[in-house]
Amino acid sequence: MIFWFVASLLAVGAALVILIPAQRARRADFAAEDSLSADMAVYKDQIDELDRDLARGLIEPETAGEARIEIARRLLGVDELLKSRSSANKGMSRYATALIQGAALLFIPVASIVLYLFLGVPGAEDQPLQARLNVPSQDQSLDVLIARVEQHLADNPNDGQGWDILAPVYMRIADPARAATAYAKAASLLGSTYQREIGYGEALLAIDQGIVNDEARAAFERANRLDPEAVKPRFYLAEALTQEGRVEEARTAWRRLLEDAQEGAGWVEVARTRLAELQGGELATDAPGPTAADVSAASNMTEADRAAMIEGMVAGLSERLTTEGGGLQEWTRLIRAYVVLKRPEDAQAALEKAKNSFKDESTAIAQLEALGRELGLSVSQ
Amino acid sequence: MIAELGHFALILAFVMALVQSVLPMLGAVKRDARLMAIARPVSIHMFLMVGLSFAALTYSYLVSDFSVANVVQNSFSQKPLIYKISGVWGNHEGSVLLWVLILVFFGALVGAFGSNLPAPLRAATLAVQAWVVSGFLLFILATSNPFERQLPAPIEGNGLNPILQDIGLAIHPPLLYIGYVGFSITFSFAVAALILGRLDAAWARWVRPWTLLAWVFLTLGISMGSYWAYYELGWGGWWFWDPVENASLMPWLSGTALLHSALVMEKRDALKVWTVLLAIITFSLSMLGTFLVRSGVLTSVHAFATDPQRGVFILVLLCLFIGGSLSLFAWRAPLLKQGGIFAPISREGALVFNNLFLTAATASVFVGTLYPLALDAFDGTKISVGAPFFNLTFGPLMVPLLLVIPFGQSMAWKRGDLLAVAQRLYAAMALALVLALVMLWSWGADNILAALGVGLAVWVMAGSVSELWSRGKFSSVGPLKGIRRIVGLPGSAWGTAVAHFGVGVTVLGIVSATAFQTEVVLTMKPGQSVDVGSYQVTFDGLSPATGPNYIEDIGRFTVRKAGVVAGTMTPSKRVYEASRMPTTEAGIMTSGVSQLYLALGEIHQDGSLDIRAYFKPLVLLIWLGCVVMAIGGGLSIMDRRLRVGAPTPSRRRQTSSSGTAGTSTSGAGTSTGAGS
Repeated sequence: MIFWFVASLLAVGAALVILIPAQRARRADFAAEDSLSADMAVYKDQIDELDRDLARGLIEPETAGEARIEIARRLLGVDELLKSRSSANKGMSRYATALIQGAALLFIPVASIVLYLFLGVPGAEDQPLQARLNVPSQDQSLDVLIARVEQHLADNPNDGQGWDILAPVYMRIADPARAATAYAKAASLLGSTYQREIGYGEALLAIDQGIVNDEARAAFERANRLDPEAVKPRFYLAEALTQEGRVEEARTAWRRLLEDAQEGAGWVEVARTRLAELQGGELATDAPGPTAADVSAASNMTEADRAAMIEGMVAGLSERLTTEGGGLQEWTRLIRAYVVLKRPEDAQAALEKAKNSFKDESTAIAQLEALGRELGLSVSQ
Repeated sequence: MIAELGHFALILAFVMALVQSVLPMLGAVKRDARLMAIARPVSIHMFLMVGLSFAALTYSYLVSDFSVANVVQNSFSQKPLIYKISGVWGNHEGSVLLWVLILVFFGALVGAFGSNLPAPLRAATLAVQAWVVSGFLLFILATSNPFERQLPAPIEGNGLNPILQDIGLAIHPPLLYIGYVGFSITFSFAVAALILGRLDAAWARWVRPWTLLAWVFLTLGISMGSYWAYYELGWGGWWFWDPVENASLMPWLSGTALLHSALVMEKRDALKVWTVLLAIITFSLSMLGTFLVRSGVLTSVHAFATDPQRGVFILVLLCLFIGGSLSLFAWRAPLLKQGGIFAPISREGALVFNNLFLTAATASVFVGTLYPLALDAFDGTKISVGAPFFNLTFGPLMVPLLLVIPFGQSMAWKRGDLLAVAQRLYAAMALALVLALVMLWSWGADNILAALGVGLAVWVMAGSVSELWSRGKFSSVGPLKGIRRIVGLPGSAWGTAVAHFGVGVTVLGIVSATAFQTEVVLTMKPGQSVDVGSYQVTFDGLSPATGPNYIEDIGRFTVRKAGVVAGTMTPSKRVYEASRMPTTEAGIMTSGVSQLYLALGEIHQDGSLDIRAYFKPLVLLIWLGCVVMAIGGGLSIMDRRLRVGAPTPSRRRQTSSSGTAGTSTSGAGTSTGAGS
């Protein structure tokens, strides 16, 4: 309501700005506005200025004389023009009135309001952040609550408790990057605990879409030290070994994990599948690591289906690495996968591509060549 | 409600601009006083409306109102206050709104202070200005509306491009825009004059101060932007011939030409048609610059808008305004009366020379900037035109221009005496030659171009000093009176000398920083030292730190000169939390006007890091010179007197020598004539 009141005030103001001066101009002396006379006025001002400069001694008399002649020449020109153009201009009084009133009273209000209704969001209130955050807690949505804690932490960045509270919430709203930061901050402020390390590792895992990178692995190792019995770190460490293609160690890790397993736990099935794959000489072949769901799906398939699924994943990985490039770990996985799938030519080709994409990094090349030798591929240049 | 009111005010301003585009122009052509009378108040009211809407948007940024889409996309609740404000124009929508705000501000200035303008000229000028305003407001409302709402509102924004999160951003665009848009006034005056079919004397009077005002801001804006790129982008360079920079350089070059030709027009009533054309070209180049940056045609840090729809829209606007005004020029210019004749060797002649070279330089930048784009558009070939092209085209064009500056400013109007001028410049010439020879001797023949460059810079500076000095006429009036004469010189004389001196200063900085800089690129381990110029830089170590909205790695360096610690430097690499984007903050140590410059490259696992270190002698002069130029422009604006250029009385020896007090002597010094 207030909005429409103020808006109409603005529109009325705009109309008046047009109506009033036009009304006044009707009575004004029109002839005085002629531009030729304005020229004359300028030249006369110039002559006055010249006289003042001369009186103040800023210029020399001769120069003043020359300048005066110059101005007089221009003045004469205007004078001739004035005489030659004596016919008086007639205003367009009849149309002018209609035009001005139409513009002020009709066009401006109607056009502005119609355009606004078309473009604007009438009635939409402002939503300043502070006001939104000050609403009582039970009425607030999750993201407002998060924002409140965030604001508190921005003012007290050393409040580890706050980070502890936020970190799992971030995981829940699928924001692993912030969760990782929060876990790390909590750990650095309040010290390392099993919960913080495992949370940090899982967040990194989520960021990297299932790949256990070095940092995540270090976190799981710390968690494992803090609670050697806990299943999660051991599970992820076994997964890391599997992903790296360290078959023997991975096999041992899975086996040990399964020894302590309680029947019926959700992860047991995954662990078994992994172990079975490893023992069958197969490797987890896709880069972003098959999710638990994928794996459990795979275990229910026929042999042919499974082969097709693995082929599909390898093809996807190969496609991605060729077009977008990737890390050494991923290339290694691809090469190994081809060997496992008994496609040595593809393995050879992938090795060449990998070497090509790391041609500036001698350590990577050395690792790739070692891998090639291990798998019986040709490594000559 | 405030956001919606801002939106309504913007729409109202657009509707008023439409009215303003038609009625006053009709009044000016048909000589109807009432239709013309609405122009002034409407121009002021439009400014108030756009101002209101800009204030509303600023308010939304200040209170982090994330129901406004523009705030969501470009702000962040934890952002420091100053960047909340500067964030308003740190994005596409806001910056176009700022552009229009300045446009209507200039219109309002004409409305408020234009009482001594002839009514038809004033009405027509304001109407033309309103055409431009309508065009750009339509652009905002149709494709880039900053008041678009996002409901339901998210709880946090996406942050501001970290490169732009800098004090440079807070100042650079407004200065640049005042410069760009300031030329709109001379453009509107020119188009109005073409439509009305005559150039009033008042036109000539008005063009110079408006051009100067825009030029001063553009000069400051460009040099600011250059310094900003120098310390923020971490490449150690200060001018990259980047299309965005060129986009601002082109209107500056033609604007410089314009203000010199406006001088001739004001004083001698000559070069009128040429001035009209330059006024049109200059603002067209300003709009082209806006188009290049805003359309996303260029991929560069500045081009934060990448949206083909907008691009096409601005392109159409551009064709309409530039094509329309140039056709109008072709059609109406023959009607305009030419006036004022002059000999080739005269102040006017020198200014024509200046205009020729400046427009040629503009053309070379224009070709270098647009040719690759055109090629890309026609057959998809991507070429890049870089520094080598511009060094070969732009550089040689500047040399004769600089050579002539001292002659030009000492020359008399209408018919000058080259020999007499050369005599007065002997001292400056000698100084420049001696310095060039000294440079050549101390740096060897390899640096012959650098030595010549130094000579050229000194020549321009000394020429300006000598011009002021000779106006003092110390030999004939004695030291005291001479000083009083110099102090009492009109603002425009001081302005000319100071601005030209600034040109020399900038040239000196450019030559020195380019030819004599030392560059070292290496990987350093903590504790390691390296020699950069006469300095020894030791890398002490790397330490992490946390800023208000970023985390950074700060490299600590100790700088020694001849074994004595001269200071520490802390260049850093930042990662902004909201966007996870890394930026470089160069470490700069200033001694005098020279600088030691350190930028961090990649940080390695073992604690060593890549650095680039430069010693740039006299580099600060590049920007100081620009500031001096701008001060010169300011001095010249202050000179509000009416000016007429009168020729020196020819072949008439002055007779009165010592006689009357105050009126002093000598013909040569009166080059600028009455009330110069």
